[in-house]
Amino acid sequence: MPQAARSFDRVACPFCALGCDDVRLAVSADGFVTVDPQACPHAIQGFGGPVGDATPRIDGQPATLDQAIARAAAILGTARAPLIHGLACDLAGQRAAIELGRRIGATVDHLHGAAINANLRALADGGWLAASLAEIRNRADLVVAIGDPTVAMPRFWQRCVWAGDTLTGIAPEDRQVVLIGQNLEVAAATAPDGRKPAVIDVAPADLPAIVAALATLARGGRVFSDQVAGLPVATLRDLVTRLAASRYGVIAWSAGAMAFPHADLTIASLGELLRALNAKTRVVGLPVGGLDNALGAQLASLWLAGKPPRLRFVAGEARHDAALYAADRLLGSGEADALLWIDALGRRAPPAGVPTIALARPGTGFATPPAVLIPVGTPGLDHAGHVLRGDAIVALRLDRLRDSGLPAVADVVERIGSLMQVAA
Amino acid sequence: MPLTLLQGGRVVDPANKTNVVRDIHVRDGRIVAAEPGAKVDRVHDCRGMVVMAGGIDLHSHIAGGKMNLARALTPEQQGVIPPAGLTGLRYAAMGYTMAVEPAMLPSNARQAHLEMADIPIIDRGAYAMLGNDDFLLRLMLQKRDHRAIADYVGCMMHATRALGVKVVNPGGISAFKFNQRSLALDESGPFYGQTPRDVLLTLARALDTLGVPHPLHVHCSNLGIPGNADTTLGTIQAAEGLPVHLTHLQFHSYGAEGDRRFSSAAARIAEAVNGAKNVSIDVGQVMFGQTITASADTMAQFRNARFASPAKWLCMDIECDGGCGLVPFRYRSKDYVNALQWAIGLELFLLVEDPWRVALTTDHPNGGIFTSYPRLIRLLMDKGFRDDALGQIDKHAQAATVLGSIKREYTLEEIAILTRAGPARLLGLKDRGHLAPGAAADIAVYREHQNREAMFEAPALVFKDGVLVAKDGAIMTETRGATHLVRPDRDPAIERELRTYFDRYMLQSFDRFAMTDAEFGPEDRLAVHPCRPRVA
Repeated sequence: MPQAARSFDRVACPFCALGCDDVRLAVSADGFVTVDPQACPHAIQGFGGPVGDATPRIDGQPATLDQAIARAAAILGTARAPLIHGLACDLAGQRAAIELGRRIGATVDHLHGAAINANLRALADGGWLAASLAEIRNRADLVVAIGDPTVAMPRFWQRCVWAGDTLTGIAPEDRQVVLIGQNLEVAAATAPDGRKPAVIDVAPADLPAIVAALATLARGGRVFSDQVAGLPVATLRDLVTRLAASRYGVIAWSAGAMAFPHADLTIASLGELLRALNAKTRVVGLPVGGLDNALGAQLASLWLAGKPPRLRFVAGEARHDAALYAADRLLGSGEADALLWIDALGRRAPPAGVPTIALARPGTGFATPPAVLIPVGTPGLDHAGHVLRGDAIVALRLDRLRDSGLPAVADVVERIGSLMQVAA
Repeated sequence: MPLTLLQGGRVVDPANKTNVVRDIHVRDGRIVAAEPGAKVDRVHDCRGMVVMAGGIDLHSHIAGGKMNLARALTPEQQGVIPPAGLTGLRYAAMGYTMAVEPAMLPSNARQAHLEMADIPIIDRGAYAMLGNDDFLLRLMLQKRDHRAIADYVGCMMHATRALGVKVVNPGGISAFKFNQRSLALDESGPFYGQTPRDVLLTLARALDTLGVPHPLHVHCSNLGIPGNADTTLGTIQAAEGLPVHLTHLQFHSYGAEGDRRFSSAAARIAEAVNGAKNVSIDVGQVMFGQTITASADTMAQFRNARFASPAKWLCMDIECDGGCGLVPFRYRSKDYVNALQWAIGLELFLLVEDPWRVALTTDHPNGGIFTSYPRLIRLLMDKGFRDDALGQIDKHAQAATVLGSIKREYTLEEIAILTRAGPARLLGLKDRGHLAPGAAADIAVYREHQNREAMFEAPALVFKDGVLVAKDGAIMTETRGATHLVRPDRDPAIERELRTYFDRYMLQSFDRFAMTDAEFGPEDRLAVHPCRPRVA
């Protein structure tokens, strides 16, 4: 590591949904961050590097923060159908964005609005049984993953499944893993003693049929075929038998991996499967997701507006529609006429096509300069804050590690809002 | 500082044994003594009106993970669980100035506080839930000294910024994680081997040692099961004279007699409560209509899931400290069981003699939503109205309740005790729930009305910390309330063990789990209430 002013060894990380707080890194006097190379790639990518260019820009030209905020307020103030999207930031930023949306009559979506709504539609359809991460870590004897949990939680297997010490005395060698899906990360799901997970290799498009069959079998129903989506029914029956025989089974599904229409119906079938299994034993669900503080957006939206993201405020009243108020649809159809893009966690450029105010990390690459660019700080690095862990239970406290001068999303959004009239 | 005068109202202030027409003076957010000759800046004419301290709800599920899951589970029931903003406004418009979230899981405390900070106007507080946490059950298994356990409880209250401690189905939520479906009061739980009786007594003793003003808040074992009155009576015994607050007692006052094996045991329970001065209660009154039940008691909620209406529900095991279960429910007046639940709640209200030991709740939203309180007050104050309502319910339930024979009508003083003076005393809030000089100027002014529901649903004036926040049911301005908490003395040595425990078994460190005052925003005031001196 280069000469560093300060080093930290228990840093909380907002760059995935697992909520780790064991990252080691060093911050040099000029704010450059060097992350322990053994750390998770998300932490290295998220924390590492220089502060970057903090200069706000209007149409690509340098501007003061005041000028940029005034221009942002002007664009949103003249828009007829403003869209606030991304929301990849801390809870305070998300709360401010939702309140701005209420104030100006905007539509509000999160980067992972599709996955959030797939899960919540299934929840509202029938419900399920679930567990938070520490329960899984301390109790699970069988973990069935549908879709790769390491996408949203890179250290899921290491921290939640192969942990040595558990409260119930269950040890890694007592645990079994089944992976369902394609292109799965098998190495991390392999037990410390070398046992490979059982893999059921199926295309995402076949998941609806397979999950429906599992739910049917668990209920004691019959499947009138020898095969489901090319898999022998015996394989599925065996999986149901293993789940039913587990003491504390886990079904971890990744809505983000269900890139097919009506994924909510498949998740609802998982709810049915869980209900059937719990008649006799304990099997819990874990909706794996929550990258980019998606759960923070979900919760803040529910407590502030009573409804989840994909909100539209009409005369101060919140409406929700998972299809109608999807940001990509509004942008694709040309219905949105201004975009407030918020990404303080990644360095992702906003979708092109409408006048855009980008609240983005320094170093974000833009194909064309946005109308307004306001570089913002990253929570847990440039300012304190909170993000929700992927199980929606633990709000992780994030610390300020350097003095970069970059403003927090919440401050910028509140300043924009203070310049704007209340929507008629 | 401007001086405000509330002139000529009938001041019903049972904490100060006052029920007279007199003026109230307010300066700088506090009630002050009359200052002869002082310039009065604002006069509110309260003649013909009733002046009370602001209402205090000591048990209302207003925030936290389970409430957001409830909002997500039932998007079609928008009226049942209002968003944070409306929660504060509706309480304030109804003359309430404080509500306490009774089921704050330590692991979810930070999120619950962040959410509560978005509830405008009213003050908030929360009880930390303990008694199903693996750490406590381990301490008990290791037969640790009661002082170490008190230190642990104190540490958790500090870490979660709690006003009290609640135990839900002692040990039962943990047992459900081990696939046990019921746990009797004297039954050893799985793995840790502790009985609900042991857990209850251990926590009650810890709070007594720490001098926490609010007694252990107890959600008894066997919620909702016909015949559970025996468990409840056993729980009163199990406290061994230590202070306990039995919450939503209606759900725990069931007999198993009659053709339908479901009967009222309210009379037996009320008799036991009347005889046990260490016991306070709130009722958890059922009000007919649609709601969603939200409880940490996964064991009970899983059992009751078959009654879900609409047919959907959720149970979650949470972070080795508890759980949550959500079951939508529709209480129907023509259903025998629901109707008798309604009658049992009213029987409890009317048969427990000492109003200082009873708090008015519906266990929002579990028995009904908090906006139904004015109707509940009328049911208690107006026998004619109550008898009419009784005549509307299921005929078999009418035959199974003694409600019609009870003549008692609550007085205004008694209602003031149930809804503000009593809860303030039970929570240890010395400057709330009364109207003597020095008290916070949280005040509700009601127009006298024969119809007590009309009287209590839209007070003429509501002041929060001296600011006029509502008038005739309409919000005048949105202020920010405070978070109320206690910080009992404890030996932080136990934190070493907690650090090791978190590092070994949890996914974050203890120091990150514990909240800091800096996490409350600059606008979020913390009101810290004193504990009694710690006892050895």
